[in-house]
Formats: sequence, C-alpha cells, structure tokens
Amino acid sequence: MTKKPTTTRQSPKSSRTDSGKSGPGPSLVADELRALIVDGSFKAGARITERAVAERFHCTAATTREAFHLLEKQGAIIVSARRGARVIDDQYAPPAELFIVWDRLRWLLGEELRRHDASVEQLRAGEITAKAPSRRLVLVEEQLERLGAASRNARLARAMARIALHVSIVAPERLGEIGESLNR
Amino acid sequence: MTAELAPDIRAFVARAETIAGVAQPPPPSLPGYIAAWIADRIQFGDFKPGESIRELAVADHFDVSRGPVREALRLLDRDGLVTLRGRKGAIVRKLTDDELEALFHIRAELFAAQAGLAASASERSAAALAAIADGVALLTRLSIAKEATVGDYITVRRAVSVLITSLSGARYLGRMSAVFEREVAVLWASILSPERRRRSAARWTALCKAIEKARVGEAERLARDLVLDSLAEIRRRAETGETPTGETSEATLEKSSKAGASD
Repeated sequence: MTKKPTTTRQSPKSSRTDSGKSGPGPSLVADELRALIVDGSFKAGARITERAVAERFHCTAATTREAFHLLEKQGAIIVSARRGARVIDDQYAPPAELFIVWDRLRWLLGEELRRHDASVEQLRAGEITAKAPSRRLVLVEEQLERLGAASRNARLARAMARIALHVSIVAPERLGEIGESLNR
Repeated sequence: MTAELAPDIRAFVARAETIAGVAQPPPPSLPGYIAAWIADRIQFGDFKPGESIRELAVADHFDVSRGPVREALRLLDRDGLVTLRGRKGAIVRKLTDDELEALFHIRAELFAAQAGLAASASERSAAALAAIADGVALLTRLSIAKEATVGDYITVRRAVSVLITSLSGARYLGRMSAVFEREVAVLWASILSPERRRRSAARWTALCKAIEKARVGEAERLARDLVLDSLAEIRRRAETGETPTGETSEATLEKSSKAGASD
C-alpha cells in the first residue's frame, strides 16, 4: 500500500477545514462585529475583509461568511461578490430618508399600541445615557421589543430595529432622537 | 411571457430601468442569477409557500454544482423569501397571519410615503412621468389580455414601482419598501386572479394620475389603499378557503424549459 503524501497544503481551503472544530460560532462573531461597526471601529462604508475577521476572532472562513450573512440580513453590511463585505454608509441610507421611514413606522406602532389599549406611558423607558453607541442601540432594541410585545406586532418592532441599526451606523449622534421618539 | 405582448413588456422594463438609472446593473454572479430566477418562480406563484426547493433539482436545472445554488438560497434567505433547511435546501417562506398583517401595514405606510414624495418632488423628470403613464396603460392592457400571465403583470408592475421610486428621489425609502414588498411577494401571484388584476390596474391608474397631477394627499391615500386592498383580498380568500390562483402554473421546476430561465 502506498502511503498518503504527508505534505500539507497551506491554502486557505485546507486551513478552513482543519480549524473547523474550534473558535466562536457565527452568531457570536456577528454580534461582536456589529458592536465594532456601531462603535466605529469599522466606519460607515468601510470594507471588512474575511481575513481581518478570521484573525480577530480566530474563527474559520466558513464562520466568517455565515457571520457576514447574518449581518447582511440585519442590514448592517452589504456583501457583494465583487466588493466583498462593506458597512452601509450615508449614501446607501441618507439620514433624512432614515427619519422619513422611522417616523412612518413610529406612527404605525402608535396605532398598534392604541388598538391593543397599551400606552407608551406605562412602557416608558428611562433616558438613554449609555455612552457607547452599541450599548445605546441595545437599549433602543430592548425598548422596541417591549413595545412590540405590547402592540402584538413583533414584526413591526423588528422592522424598526433595522432602521435604528442604520441610524446608529450612519448618524450615531441621532440615536437619541430615536430613543426619545419611543417615549412619546 | 405571451408572444404578442412580450416585446412591449421588455421594452417598457428596459425604458423604466434606463430612466431610473439602473440600466446597466453589473451582470449578476451565478448565485445572483439563480437567486433571481428562483425569486421570480416564487413571486409568479410557481413555487408555493411551504414548498421545498431542493438544491440538487435546481443544480440539475442549471447544470451547475450545488455550491452556487446553496449561495443563491442564502441570498433568498437574507431577503426573507425562503427559510434554509440545513443541507437539504430550503422551503419557500410561509408567513404567519400576524407577520402578514404587519408586513402589509408596513408596506402600506412606506408606499404611501413614496407616492407622496413622487407627487411632491420639486424636480420631476418628464421622461419618468411619461413612462409611468405608459406603464399603467400597459398594465391595463395586460389585465384584460387573456393570454397575459401573472408573471407579465408583476413584471410590469415592478417596473412601474421602480419609476415611482425614481420620481420620489428617495432611494433608501424605495429600497426599504422593496425589502418588505419582497417578503410578501410570495403571495402576489395568489391574489392576482384575472378579475383582480383588472381592479388592481384601475387602482394603479388612479394612483399614477394623482402622482402626475401632484395631488400629494390623494396619492398617499391611494397608495396606502392599494396595498391594504391586497391584504383584504388575502384575508377574504383565507376565510372563504378559495384556492390561490385558479391558474395552473406553467413552470414548475421539473417541467420548465431552459428558455424559461432567461426571463
């Protein structure tokens, strides 16, 4: 019997397969990446390479791609075959338009709350004082989740969370307005 | 696509894309191409909600390996058209009643905002306005032509939407509107029976008229009503237990020809 050649190929492909057992999972990587984006480590419009992610999180290329997929689904990045993964920017999401969409959905949420006799009053969240934008975004999301439950319209709350994420990336200084509008 | 109307449909879609500035999209990657094909099959009602899409069947259809098909299904999962099912492939997304309700109301608001902006934008392209008028005329023709398919109708409708977005000058709003529209698109074909297409065409005509005449409030109201009317139709069908289209689908995966893939 001939022995199998022992030379190991150092292609990205082979390293992907043999490091498959360890490292963080895709959703954890996606969460961490999202925080890095929102806090400005990856700025609006920045390219995120698979390599940078794999090095930072010691994860496989497959995990990285899955994390990109999750982030793209949330709306934080755009992945294209030619340009790789990019953080959305204010050309993609101009702040003025973000707020048109936000105001419409906020109005809809108000209607839904009224329909179910829930009032914002009871659900009012404290003022958002956290410094890190990623932390502020999480607080907005939690508030949206509460309002979504009260209005029995989780899907709407999720749609609004998508817009809030976009605001936190292209106009982080206006995230406060988003938080305030949920208390009104 | 029907032979007689096909050239008109193609010409109109091309014109709409040129005006809206999406004339030369880069040639889609193979996964992108496959995804667009599957999305059309879903939206035209050939693949029904809850039905499974098998990787291997699609790969065979395009004569490619499973890799690009898997990637295509991921793209569709991202857009909410399918739900991935591990290694087996995916199933066409089935919306719950609550999701459906929520998505239609979101769409109604966003579409109303678009229509309002399209009616009130300060600098409106005459070419876009003319194209919209021709687009609704074509929709009307398609709604009464016996040989026109649901796919024809949806194709033109989509192009009219592209023009409204372009007129509104609000691309992000248009994109968000499209995101939510795509999620409910699995149901379009099911509610577009021939008689309902006629009603729909009349509504689109009225809406585009209001946009053209810069009647902002009316445009908003008509746009909202147009979307909510679809929701009412879906509810009505659910209550009466009517079968979705009453049309036989012509292009299920196994039967469809290679030519169909280039639609």
